[in-house]
Amino acid sequence: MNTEKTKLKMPSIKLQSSDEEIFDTDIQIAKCSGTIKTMLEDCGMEDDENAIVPLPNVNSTILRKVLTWAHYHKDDPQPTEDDESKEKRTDDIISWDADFLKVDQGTLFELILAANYLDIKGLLELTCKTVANMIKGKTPEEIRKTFNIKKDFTPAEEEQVRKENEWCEEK
Amino acid sequence: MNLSHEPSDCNEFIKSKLYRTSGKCAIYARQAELYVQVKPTPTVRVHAPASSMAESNNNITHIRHDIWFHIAMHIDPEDVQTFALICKQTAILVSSRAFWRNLYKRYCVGETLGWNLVLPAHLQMEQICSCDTKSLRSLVVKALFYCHRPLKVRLEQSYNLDWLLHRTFVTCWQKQYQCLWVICYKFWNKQPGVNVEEAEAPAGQVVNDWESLADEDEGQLTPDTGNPNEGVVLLVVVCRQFVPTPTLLAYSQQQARYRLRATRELLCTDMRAKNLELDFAEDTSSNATVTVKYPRIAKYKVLPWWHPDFQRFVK
Repeated sequence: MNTEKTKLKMPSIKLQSSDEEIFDTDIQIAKCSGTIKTMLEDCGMEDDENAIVPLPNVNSTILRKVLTWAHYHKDDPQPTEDDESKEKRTDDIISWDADFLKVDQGTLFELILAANYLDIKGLLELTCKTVANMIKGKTPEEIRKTFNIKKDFTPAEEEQVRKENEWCEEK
Repeated sequence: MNLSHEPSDCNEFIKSKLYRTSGKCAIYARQAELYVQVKPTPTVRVHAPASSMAESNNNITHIRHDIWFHIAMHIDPEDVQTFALICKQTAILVSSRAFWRNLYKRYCVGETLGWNLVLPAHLQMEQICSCDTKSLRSLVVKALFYCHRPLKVRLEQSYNLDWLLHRTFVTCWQKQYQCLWVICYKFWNKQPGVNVEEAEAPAGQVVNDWESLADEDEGQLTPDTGNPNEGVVLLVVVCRQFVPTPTLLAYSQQQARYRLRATRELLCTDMRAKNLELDFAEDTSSNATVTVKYPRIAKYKVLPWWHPDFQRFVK
């Protein structure tokens, strides 16, 4: 019975966040991250249950969020090279993901960086799409207000950028 | 190797022997040894209490360049101008080669060995991938108007005369085709031969700190010179009657002094045709206006530089 339980138990790995919190994670979920997958394979850490994978660029709050996302999407097919060049729609976010990303802007931007660092294409797409959707339909002034961004153009520079991209305008 | 070197000297020596760097690791090679080192993240993090993304200086947020980069890769073509107008960082990203290659890949690459049968030969991937960034940008814009539905729809609905207002008159030419006269006006969205940087830069400035020049270049919004017709809009009027170009406009062609101030499309008294009137005003004086009247026009078309028909008419 015991042996059976051991057999069924998913191998796990320890991930260490930048603030030194340890996350005991199923190896399959951790491997959603291309960075962790490569580290495990290249360093032969897969069979060592006590090995700790340091992730110095991700803090515990963000890592927890990332692992929650990875757990929910663990059975998703891995995106292929072809998928990368496919037209990226911004209106196909599932409701679980939309709820998952109801976070403050700082966290959203941290998630973008974490997804990039950990090489999780699905999460990177999702977070960027969410910001792209926040931009859609707004004027530059409204966007700056939404994200508290300072306008750093001179009037001449702004006019130049406007003219260079006038092809987008609908009159 | 001299072992008495300071640690910093050793690091320098190792760096000088840099062999290969890829992904998240840098590999430094010496004759008999190999070092693999995790790359430090190259970006400067800003600090905020809740997250390192947002620095709160009087409630102003500074979003890191790499975050903008990832967001830029998901911007829809019709949102490019809005995105570019957010701040200098986004404007610079929109001027980058990576941005335009990404837009082209997302919207224009076909499924048959990269060939998109909707696009003409000169806008195929093979043709555009080796050109300079400014030309690439202009070609990708043209390609998007073939491939991206919301932009295609705009072409089908055709552009109205408002697109011409306040543009500088560049030149005008006429051609007879059977019993019709085809008159083409060329307008530009800036003064010919002037770009913003040149106009604003103080002439003859002496630079003592040469290194600062390189830094300035990085943040500069570069003017477009790739496509000489970028910014040009043509007005093509088809008319049964010959109407000579007013002398004032003909003279102005080299100096580009006139702007189009107003347009009028008026129904003829018999209600069977339309007249088209164009009001030009001199840049320097608000009183000097020239009006050109085209009676009973057969048709007119506004063709911006990205329109597929633009090349057929431009001179």
